[in-house]
Order: sequence, then C-alpha cells, then structure tokens
Amino acid sequence: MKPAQFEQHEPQTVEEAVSLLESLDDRAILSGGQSMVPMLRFRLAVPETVIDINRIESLDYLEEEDGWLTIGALARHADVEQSELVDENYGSFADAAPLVADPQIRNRGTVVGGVAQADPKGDWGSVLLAHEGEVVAHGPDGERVIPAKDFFLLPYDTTLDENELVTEIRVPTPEPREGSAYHKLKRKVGDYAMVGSAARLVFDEDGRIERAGIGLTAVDITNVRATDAEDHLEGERPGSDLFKRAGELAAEQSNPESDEHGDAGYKERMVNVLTQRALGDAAERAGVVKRRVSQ
Amino acid sequence: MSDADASGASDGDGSGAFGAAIERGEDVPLLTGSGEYTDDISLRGTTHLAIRRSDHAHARIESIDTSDAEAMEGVLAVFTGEDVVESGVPNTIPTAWDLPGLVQPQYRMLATDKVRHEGTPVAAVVAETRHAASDALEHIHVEYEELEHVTDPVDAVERDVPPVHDEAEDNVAFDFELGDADATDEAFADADRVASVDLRQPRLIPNAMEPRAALADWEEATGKLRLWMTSQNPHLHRMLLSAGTLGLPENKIQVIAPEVGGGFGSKIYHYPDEAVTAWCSMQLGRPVKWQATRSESYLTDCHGRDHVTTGEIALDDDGTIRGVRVETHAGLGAQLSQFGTATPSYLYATVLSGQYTIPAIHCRVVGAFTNTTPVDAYRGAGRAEGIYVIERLVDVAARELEMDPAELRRRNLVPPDEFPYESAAALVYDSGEYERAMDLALEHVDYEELRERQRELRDEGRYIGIGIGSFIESAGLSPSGLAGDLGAQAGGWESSIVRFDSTGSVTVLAGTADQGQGHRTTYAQVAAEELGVSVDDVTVVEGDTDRIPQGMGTYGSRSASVGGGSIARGAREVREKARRIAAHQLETSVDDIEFDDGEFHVAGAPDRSLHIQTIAHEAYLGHDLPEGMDPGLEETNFYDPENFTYPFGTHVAVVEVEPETGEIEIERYVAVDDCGEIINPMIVEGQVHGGIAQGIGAALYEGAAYDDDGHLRTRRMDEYVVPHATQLPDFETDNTVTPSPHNPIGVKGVGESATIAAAPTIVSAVADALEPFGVDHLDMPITPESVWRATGGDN
Repeated sequence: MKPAQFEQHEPQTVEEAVSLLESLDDRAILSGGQSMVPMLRFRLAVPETVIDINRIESLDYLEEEDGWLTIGALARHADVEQSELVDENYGSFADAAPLVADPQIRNRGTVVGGVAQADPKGDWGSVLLAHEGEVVAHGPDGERVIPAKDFFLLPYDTTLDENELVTEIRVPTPEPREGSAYHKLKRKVGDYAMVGSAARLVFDEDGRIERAGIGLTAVDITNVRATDAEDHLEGERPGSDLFKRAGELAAEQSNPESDEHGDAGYKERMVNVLTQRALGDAAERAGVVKRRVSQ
Repeated sequence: MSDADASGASDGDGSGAFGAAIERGEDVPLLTGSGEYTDDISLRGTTHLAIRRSDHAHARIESIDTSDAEAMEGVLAVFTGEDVVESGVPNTIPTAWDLPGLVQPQYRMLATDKVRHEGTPVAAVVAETRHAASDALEHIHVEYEELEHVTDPVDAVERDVPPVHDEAEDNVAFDFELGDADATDEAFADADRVASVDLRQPRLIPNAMEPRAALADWEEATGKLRLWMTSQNPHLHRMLLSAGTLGLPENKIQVIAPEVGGGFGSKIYHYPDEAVTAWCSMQLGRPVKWQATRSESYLTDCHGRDHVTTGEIALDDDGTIRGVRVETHAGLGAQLSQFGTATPSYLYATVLSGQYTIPAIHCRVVGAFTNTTPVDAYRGAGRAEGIYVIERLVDVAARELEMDPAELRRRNLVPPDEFPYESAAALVYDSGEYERAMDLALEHVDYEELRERQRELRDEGRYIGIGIGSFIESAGLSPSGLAGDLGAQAGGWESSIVRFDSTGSVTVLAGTADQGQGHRTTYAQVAAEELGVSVDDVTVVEGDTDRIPQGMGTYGSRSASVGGGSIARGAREVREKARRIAAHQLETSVDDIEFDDGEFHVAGAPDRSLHIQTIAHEAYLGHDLPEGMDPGLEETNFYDPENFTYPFGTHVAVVEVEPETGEIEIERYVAVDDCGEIINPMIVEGQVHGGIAQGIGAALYEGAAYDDDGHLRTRRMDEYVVPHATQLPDFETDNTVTPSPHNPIGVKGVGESATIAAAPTIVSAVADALEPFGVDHLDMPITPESVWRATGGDN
C-alpha cells in the first residue's frame, strides 16, 4: 500500500503547532514516524494534513531539571539509549531503550511519540507508569500536566484534548534508595513486546519498600499499573517470596489476549515471571539486596 | 576469511582462480546503489499497474463494476478477467511438471468465475502514476458470493468441504507413491522396533528482499514485447509467456532480469501479475510497470512447505535401520504453480534415505488443493522436507533405542566404498564421505565432553540440547531425459557461450540468472582457470534472452554444477581451438603444444610461446589460421549432466532452553558442508550463512498461518517472524571436499544445503534439551510458548 495524499505543515514553534491544531480539522501529528508512517502506508490513517513537529527545536532535550528527568518531544529512543545520565540513574529507561524496535527506528522514533501513541504494546507507557511520571501537554490555554495514571484511556486513545500537543514526559529524579528495571519478552528484534514489565522500588532507611510502581506492557487495553502487586509490596522487606507473590498478583490483574505469538495463559504466566525479574533487578539496583545469583 | 586468502587470487593469470576467496565483483555496484533493479528502470511514457485482489479465500464473482475507478483522474484503463479472455490470448498459466493422474485445473491471469485464495487477482488498473493506480483500486466494486473454504491440506481431503476446483471433488490433485510398499511392510514386520513421529512442516513465506516487479514495453510496429522482470530464469519465463499466457512467438519476446534482489525459489514461477503487466502494455501501447508491495508479496509469492506427515522407522535393536514409511498430505494451494507438483513428490520422497543405507522405503504423498496461496519450491524445496522427516525419525528412534543419536547415525551411514550408492528411494548418490564430515562437526563441539556437560547442567536445573542434522541434497536436477521420465516439462541442461573478444578480454554469457549468488564472480573464476587469464579479464553476462541464446535458470542449487560445468566445457573448447592456432603459428604439431598460465609453448622450448590473449587477437584477424579453420574464438555449449550431484554434510547445534519462559538460546552452531570442489570459499561460506539463517527461521520463528476466515494471519513483517542477524549465533563453518565425479569441475552445489540442514538440526537440539521432560519432538516453529508448555510450565 501507499499513503493517500496529504498536505504537510512544518511548524517551528509549539505555539505555531497548537494554532495549526486549532485551525485544521483532519490532521495527524508526525514526530519520529515510528507508528504514523506505517499507519499512513497501510492507510489506517488517512488524514488530510500531517503536522510534522520535527522543526520545533525547543522540544529536543533530555535532561534533569528541578527534581525531574524531562524528555522533550523530539528526544529519540537512541538519545535515551546513549544517555549517560539515564544509564547511571534510570535503570528502567536504560533497560527499555535498546529493546524498542530496532536501531534504525530508534534513531527516528521518539519517546514522547511512543507515549502519545498510547499503543498498549508500547514500552514507554509502562516505564512512565512505574515511575509515577507525568505527561506535559500544550494547548490553546497553555501548558497542562497530566499524571501518567490518568493519561491512557483506550488503545491509541488518551485524555489529551483535541487541540493539545504532548511536548514532554517526565519522571521524578531518583530518591536515595531507588532502583528500577524493565523486562520484555518478544519474538524477535524490532518487535513489539509480547509481554513487558517495568518496576520501580523506593526503599526506606530500614530497607522496607516505601513505594512500588509496576507498569505492564501488552497485557491490557492500555499500559496498566499492577496496583494489587504494588500494594502488596509496600511496607515489606524485599525477598523472593514477596516478589513471587507480587508477580502472581500482577498476572492476576493482567488481561492479555491470545495472538499468533502466544496465548493468554502463557502471557499471563510471563507477566508473573517478568515482574519478578524486574522487581529483583530494581531491588538490586537500589542497593538494598545483593546481586542475585546469575541465571 | 582472511585478507591473505582474498589477495592470493588475482595474480594476473588464471592458475589459482578456481578456489580463491575473491571478493564479489557485484558488491560495489549493489552496495553503492548503482545496481539497477526492475523498478529503477524508467521508459518514456511509463504507466503504472496496480492489481485488485480478492479479499476472500473462496467466492464466486457476481459482478465487477469498474466505472468509478475508470472515471478517476490519471486512470487510463481498468481491466477484468473477461477483458483478458476477450483479447484472445491463450491466458493459461501452465504447470511444468506432470504426475500420473494429475488434475490440472484452469489457471487464468485474472479470475473470471471464482476466486480461490485471498490475493487472487481480479482486476487491473493502469494509471499515469503509481499512486493514482493504487488509489483507484478501492473504487473497483466487486460483488462476491462467499463460499466455504478450506486451508488445511488434511481437512481439504478428509473433511466434507466444497472443492477448490470442480475437477477435483475430493481436492486431491495427485496421489503419489514412491518405493516398494510390500518390501517396506515386510521390513517393518521383521524389525525389532518401530518408532514414529507425527509432524507438520508449516508454510514458509520467501521474503526476498526485493518484491517482484515487471516493466513491459510492447512495440506495436514490430510486434515485439520487452519485459524486464524479477526472474530466476528469463528463458523459462519467455517460454511460458509465449506458450502459456500471451501466445506471442518466443522470438518476439525479450525477457530481461536486471539486478534481482533475492528469490529463494519465489522468482522461478510464472505468476499472473507479470503476464498481466505485459498484456496491459499490449492493450495500451505504452510501457507498463508493476511493482509488488511487501503486502502483495506475502499474499502472492508462492509459499513453501505445508506438509502434514506421519513417519515411521523400523530398526533392529543394534540400531540397524530396516525400513522407513512416510505418509504426507501436502498443501498445494489454490492453483498448481509450475513446480508445485514436483516439489512435494519427487524432490521430497527421493531423499528419504538421507545419508543412510535403508533397504526399504515407501512414501505416499497426497497433494491437496486448498484455498491458499499456491505452494511451490522454496530454498531446500522437497529435499528440506524429506531430510527433516528422516532426521526426526532417526532422533526419535535413538530415543526409543536409548542410543546416542550420533552413534545411531554412524551405524547406518552409507560407507565411502558403496558409491555410487543406489538408494531404496530411487536415487544414485554420486560420492560422499559422510562419516568424515560428521566426525569433523562433532569434533568442533567436542561432542563427548559436551554430553558430559549436559548431564552436569541438568543436575543444576539447566537444560542444554545438542542437535545433529546429517543431510544430503539432490542438486542440479538433470539429465534432461531423467527429468522428463519423472514428468518435467522442461530440460535439466544449461547453456553458455565463452567468447574471447578480439583484444583478449573474455565474455561469458550464461543461461542461469543470479539473484545474489555471485555468479559474476564465480563464473569468472571458472573461465579464468580454464583459459589462463585473470579473473578481472572475464565479464559474465546473464539475464537477457536477446543476449544469451538459451538457458534454464538458477534454482535447485544447479548454477555452479550445471551452469559452471557448461562454462568449463565451453572454455576448454575455446582453449583447444586456441591451441590449434598456436601450433599452427609456432609451426609445430598440436600434440607438442603445452599450456601453462595462459601461455602456449612448444614442449621443450619454453621461449617459443604465444599467450592465449594474443591468439584471440589472431583468431579475429583471421590472417594466419590453420587450413580450413573458421575465424573467431568462442564456443556455445549445452551441458546436460549425467546425474544429479549430492552435496552433504552434518550440522551440530547447541541450545539452551529456559523452562521458566520457554526461551531458546542457540549457544553454538557448527556447519560442516561438503559441496565438492569449492570455486570460491567466501561465497560458499556466505551461502551457508544465509542458508542456516533461513533454516533457523523455519525452526524457531517463521510459519505462515491462516485464520478461520481463510485470511493470511501472518501478512506483514511484524506478524511473520523473520529472525534478525542479532538473533542468530555466530556460525562456525567448515568443509570437507569430496569432488563429484559427474561434472567437469567436481562441484556439487551449495545454495540450499544449509537451509536443508539447519531446521532439523535446531529441532533436534531443542528436543534433546527437553529430553528430561519426556519430549521427543516439537513442531516448527518452536515458540517460547510451545517450549514452556512442553516443560509443564502451564501446570
């Protein structure tokens, strides 16, 4: 298939992009094109206009600022993958980045685009949920901040207003005893996740879990938090029995569907396995448990 | 391959050209983008074709309304199957291999009555631009009456379903038998043990890097059709277009295969699309181009495999194999593609003896029509399926006998002094040292120590598996007479011209057609060796029926042995003619002329010499030739080998499975191949690498599937899993060399070997890893989920 015809706009500023959103009816936003280009090609999206935001240079950043790790709408997966900042302090981001798509796609596709696309098979939504992160959007009325847990509605559908553009995602900078991780199962390099699990653990001074965040990929209609597992973890000391139970609770809360790569029963079990592994890595990275015996 | 190996080749004379790891001459143009593929070619006034295809697996066409599409801007014409019928062209896509009792239903360019698989072409739009043609497709309104469909080859035959073709009420296209049924029954009755396996070999989708394409240019004034197309065999396509679909005289059709980006079998065949492209050009009097999308490739390129099989093996307690019995249902798809009948019959059943002395073999194959994309030869074709069956049987038997699978193989290998070996499956093997190749492969992995490590790891709850795949391949389907006896509607020969140009360079015109194999390099090596010239002095031309007089094409691992054999023979004729000229000019007898490194010299007087390139000049001057000799220095050769060649080898894989997730890690992959004499080790290694990748793909990742509506469920690259390079292990390759006595240069061919070997090797390894769980076989593709289930993960 080839795309149907469309017009293309290339705004230079966020304001210009927002005013285009206001003035045009049938439009799609193009950043890295990771999802949009195939959708155009398969004519799953047939917009009259494509708003290409790649010229908005102010959105190209990945930095720590005011207690947040902020990722602008033009930061590519590869930027995260190659960031020393991320590598040192954000285990889940460092785990996820090289698992997104393939190297060519990672050079173009954006983290924010991945979140805004709201594909339940996307990796970043789970990481964002696990970190209790936020989505920053710009609309006609200026900036609006949406907590990640309130962002995802349905597959490819969010609580974003019609004329809003997502400009940033952000997560809190790490606390003293924090660790995070992401595990993903997929059939081949470049694939969407068959199952993915992101975990973030913050420990108190006594080594108990103060806060737990778990985000799951590809097992429900959106990226979802495994809240039962999170509740079960909080206030407890880390250990394989605890994580095993958390894995079970996460699996119970998930609703995967069968497809050509695996059936629902298998995926549910994998939620359990991957969640345990992500929790184990997160605890280890927080420095509260010893390195696990290697597999 | 080290630089030292590569640099040893081009030393300015021919000696040593054969066997040198010369870098591929074709790579610079291909990698820098100057190589020209069909879609890169543009003629003045080129129009663009898009093809409307059936969304249904099985339906009757009630009506087609093309008026909306015709009215669209840029659209020049919309054609239906009726238009093709009315034009009076023969409109028949023929099969190229007959079998006893074969049902051959009508196969038209565009459907007129029914569509029989999703993707069946029903209408053609020609427009000024590719986008306009694409846009118009959805404005063609086709009314269908849906019919019940069947996609599984067993269901098609066993269940009460409406036939795909009325001519075959039970959906049986052929019921084929090979071997001695009575002798096999007797062997089974006498044997101590019988082991069996039920297995499926799923459909595979070829995924050539370049999707199919065609550019047709009909010249009304001369009645000549030029057709650029993605072809593995331009002359065969010319013949099929002439006799089958278009009815033009063969000498009025020029088929040109420019650069072709992969085929793996899929570009052998005469599909409707290229014929429709040519036919549209004939209707409009303008050039017409069609470039398949990847989606079209998935739906229309012939798929491979699709077998459902029960295999049985009878043995004595000491491991002696007594007999093999196989029954297979083979899905052929909705139409008979040219070799769709040969692939699951002769190409399959005849290799069931593998590397083993098996006194009695019987095989029955029921070829079934199904409402699916036609199935035909895909890399390994038939041989891959057959070797998979015998290798699975040997493994299962080893388990039954509680014998080491390497040891069971060893006890049954055809010994070197038994060649030529006539198998119970109707083949005569040319040569082989099977145990030497197997030993070498086992040495590479340190087999005994590896088994010890396996036992230790199992005690720790870790599961590694060691897989062995010993194979033969029957390559270079020939001689023509034998192919004809088996039902082939084409010959098994190859043709070439070896020509000295008047200034001493050499042009080789070859009837085969490269799609990535590296013929321009290897053929130049063969010619350079025979003629004593530098490889750089030889240019190889392929893929144009107006430039190359005749040819059969590239498939079935035949180019090196049959095409290369033809070139070597032609070059030798050229050399002998040059020798006669040399003798004449050096005033001595032909018997006194010696040839060394391109130099003819008088025996005993090395300073009295003439270089073959000087003689080439003399041959075209024609001033001073032997009495009665015609000028010029070139030879046309037709080579019809006396038998197939039989490449062989043993591959060994070491895998680890992780029961918790079912993930499979390939730790090591060792390939020992014997493809006879090696023209270019680097190219052989590349063929082995690619072949292993495709075999691993089949074993662990690929596998096409249809959903309940008869739609292809794996229709895109994100649904059909082709492994990436990073998912493949480092391949450790090695060779033994057992020359084929059959052809002039001793080569056997290597194009398909590794694909044939890799799938059974990997499945063997996974099954071996799962032995503690009582699993002796898992069907391909072995997914993490299937491993997880097999290890009891779901309990």
